[in-house]
Amino acid sequence: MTYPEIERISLFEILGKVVLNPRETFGYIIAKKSGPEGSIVFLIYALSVFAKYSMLYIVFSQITLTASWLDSFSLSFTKFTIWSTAVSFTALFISAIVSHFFAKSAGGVGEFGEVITLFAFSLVTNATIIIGAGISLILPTPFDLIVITFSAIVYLVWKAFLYMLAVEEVYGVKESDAFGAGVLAPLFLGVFVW
Amino acid sequence: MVKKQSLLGFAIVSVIILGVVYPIYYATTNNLWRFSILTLNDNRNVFAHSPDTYTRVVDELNMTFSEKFENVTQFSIIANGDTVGLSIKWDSLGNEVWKLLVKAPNDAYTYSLQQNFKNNFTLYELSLNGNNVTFCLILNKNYTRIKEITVATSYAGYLNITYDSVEKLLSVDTIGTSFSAGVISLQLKNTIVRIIDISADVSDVKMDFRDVIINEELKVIANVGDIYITGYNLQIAQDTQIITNTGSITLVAYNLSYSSDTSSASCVISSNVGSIAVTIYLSNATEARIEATTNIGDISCDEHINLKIVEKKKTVLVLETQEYSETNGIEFKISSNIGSISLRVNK
Repeated sequence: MTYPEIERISLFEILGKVVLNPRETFGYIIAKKSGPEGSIVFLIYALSVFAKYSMLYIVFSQITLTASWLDSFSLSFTKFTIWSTAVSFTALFISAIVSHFFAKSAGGVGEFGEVITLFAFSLVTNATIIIGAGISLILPTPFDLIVITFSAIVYLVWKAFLYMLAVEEVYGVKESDAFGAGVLAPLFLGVFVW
Repeated sequence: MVKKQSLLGFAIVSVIILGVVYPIYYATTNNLWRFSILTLNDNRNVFAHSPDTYTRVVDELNMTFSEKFENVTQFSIIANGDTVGLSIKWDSLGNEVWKLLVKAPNDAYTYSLQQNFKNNFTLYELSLNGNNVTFCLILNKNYTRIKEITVATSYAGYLNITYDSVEKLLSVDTIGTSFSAGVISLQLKNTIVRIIDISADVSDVKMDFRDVIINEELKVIANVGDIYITGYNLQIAQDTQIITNTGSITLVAYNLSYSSDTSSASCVISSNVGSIAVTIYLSNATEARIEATTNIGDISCDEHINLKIVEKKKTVLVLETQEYSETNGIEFKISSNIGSISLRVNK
């Protein structure tokens, strides 16, 4: 049996489509099975996470309230960004593992490799924090805090939506089960926010 | 034709790349990369200021304080002499604050050390009597709000106060020393100080300020010793006095301004016999008037960009920036009795 040829599209286009039409794009990524994007997305994911936390550190270090928190935990730039990036990467794997486990428990059929790839593609949400942090840098207090808080909320809601879609598309489970497996379970373990 | 999805994806990747590049640039220019952490176990680092090779290192302050010093700041007070007195006042003092090391040249040397905590651990007093001994007090980086540091020695020794961190701001109310001989060295970075009061007899005084604000008073008075002051992004005090009798004075300051708490500042630089060399680059917003006078010495001015000459005689030279007034700017009064005065003042 031969499968119909799937049109190959560029990584830029995939990232754009994840923003504009995530369900269809996730379906495409699963159907395509493999390609250079499958591995390079993890590199871009790591870069986006590094960018997110390093920008956050700069913003936090310039706001008196948050700067005192960094001081009280003795968090230097190097320590904060490298640890956060490492924890974030670990959180991605743990999120995928628990989502896989719960989705399978809900009767879903899908592969772990697919769900972790789709989770990694939700890196586009990190752009909200990076942009929010960039804007915060030029705003006076308390507007900088307001902008960074707002961007964090947008980031979490958007990420929850993409994770839910990813589980739904990979495992073919109901929306409520996908939300439980893709969002609530990682959230409960504390790995979702990373 | 380029699809809008591709453009959007390209924009996202661009944001990520900018988000990587800008923090790396920021961290590099602000010296935020720190891959190694100074620990007390490596005494060569702690005593990097001292070239001497001591053979004995004694931990004097075990008491109830923790041995954990993973995050020791590069803030240290090192003093050497036969008799050294030190007092430090904090607003509050908790555990894991500091560690004191005392070093003698070798086992044959003896010393005695008395120390007291007073006022609910907010005042520490140390008295060290010996023969050419050195102590080094290293403070934990979490405690950088110090009310007062006072150090005195009775014999030719040296004092070195160093704060070399860009990540935190050190806030010190008063730094005061009284030395009869030896070398006083003060190196501060990212620090706000209300008063610096240095008194020396035959000691040389060396001060290096980087991103330092001195709010009220900077008084450096020496008798025989030379005074060297360098500064970068230095805001000088409302009342600044740099005075020596027979020593020379060297002041080099880049991006110099005065404390924003005041509308004007006065700076007196005076030597009786010694020469005075002043190189100042004023910050863009700082106005200044420089009045140099001498009785029988020479006055020379190599450069005065954006400062006009108001008066020029053999024994008097007055320079001013365009918008200087008595209520807006720094007034420098530089005088030497028989020494020469060399100026380079730019804005």
